[in-house]
Amino acid sequence: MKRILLFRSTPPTPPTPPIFTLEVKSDNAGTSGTDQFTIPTTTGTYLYDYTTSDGQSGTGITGDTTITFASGPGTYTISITGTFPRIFFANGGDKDKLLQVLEWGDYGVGATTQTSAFQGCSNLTSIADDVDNLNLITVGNNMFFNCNLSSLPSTLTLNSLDSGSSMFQSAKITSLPEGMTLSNLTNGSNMFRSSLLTTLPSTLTLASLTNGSSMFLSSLLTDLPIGMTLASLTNGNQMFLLVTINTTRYSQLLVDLESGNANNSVTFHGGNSKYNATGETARDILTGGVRLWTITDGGLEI
Amino acid sequence: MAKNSIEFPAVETYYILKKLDPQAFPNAFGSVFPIQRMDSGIDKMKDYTNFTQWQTELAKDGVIVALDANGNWYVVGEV
Repeated sequence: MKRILLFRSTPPTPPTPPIFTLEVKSDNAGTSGTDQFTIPTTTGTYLYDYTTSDGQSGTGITGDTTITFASGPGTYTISITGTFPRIFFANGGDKDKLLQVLEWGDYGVGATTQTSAFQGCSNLTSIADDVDNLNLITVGNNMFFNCNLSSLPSTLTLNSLDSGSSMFQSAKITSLPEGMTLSNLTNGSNMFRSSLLTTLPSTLTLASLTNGSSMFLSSLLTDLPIGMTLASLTNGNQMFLLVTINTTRYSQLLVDLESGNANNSVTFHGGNSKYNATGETARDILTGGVRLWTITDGGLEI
Repeated sequence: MAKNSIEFPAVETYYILKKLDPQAFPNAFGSVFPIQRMDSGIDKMKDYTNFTQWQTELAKDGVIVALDANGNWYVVGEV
């Protein structure tokens, strides 16, 4: 007797599109109860639904909403779909309950201003790598201020960013994604202040940067990308305060500033960095009576 | 050649620099640590070793500075 085996193929399941998904710990400190989490919103048009890992759900929400987890205090995921332009912790509310952004999905579609979105989320340790919408942000002031991010997704370029004042201030990042140029950034004041940056990507140019006030203050940098000439800088006050760039690179930066930056009356702080004789020549021209620069640094290396 | 300098001061020294023309707004301001030097092409300089005194002078020109938790000054705002 012959057996005929019949196989019926099932059509492949289409991939699930990414959905803005947060991981929260409801019993961390916050303004809602220990079994709750409040999704914070701000001005703008919202129309979203949510589901949680313990089966809660809500639909047609247009502003803040507080979720009560029936399972009691614990760690949960919250998935948000619909129109959700910006989360808005702004250093308040349940900022300490957020642990991770597991997926970005359609977060922030059309909302290129993300000021203070995750500000103060001190327990936020990682963000997802589907960052297409984040790479369209133009204003990211305070966005991740005082978060606990040790690294950023390799896909994050921030190519459209114009203003990133305090965007990663006091975040714990040690490096930036290779490929990040920040070539459109004009306001970088305090952007990486008190971060733990030890290196910068070789691609970083900061070609449009005008305000670099306190940008790298108290970071751990000792070198700079060769293409970072700061040709547009008009305000470098406190820019590298407490930082020591190696003498060869800092001297080259002074040469680049003298030859490539046409602005006069610029204040620039090179931290404790020292310069060589070549750097001294450029520095003397900049701080002379024509260019009127004010430069503070560690002086001539002897 | 720089017109004003603060070279490796004994204590952190604060400064306000203004051009000779009657502009009220400071053209540069900052501070210099003992392991640092500052050089400027701007004509007029006043220096201070007292942070509060410097802070008060800057405020007269609408520049508000404060100290952060680590004792580093920062610009709160300019009006």
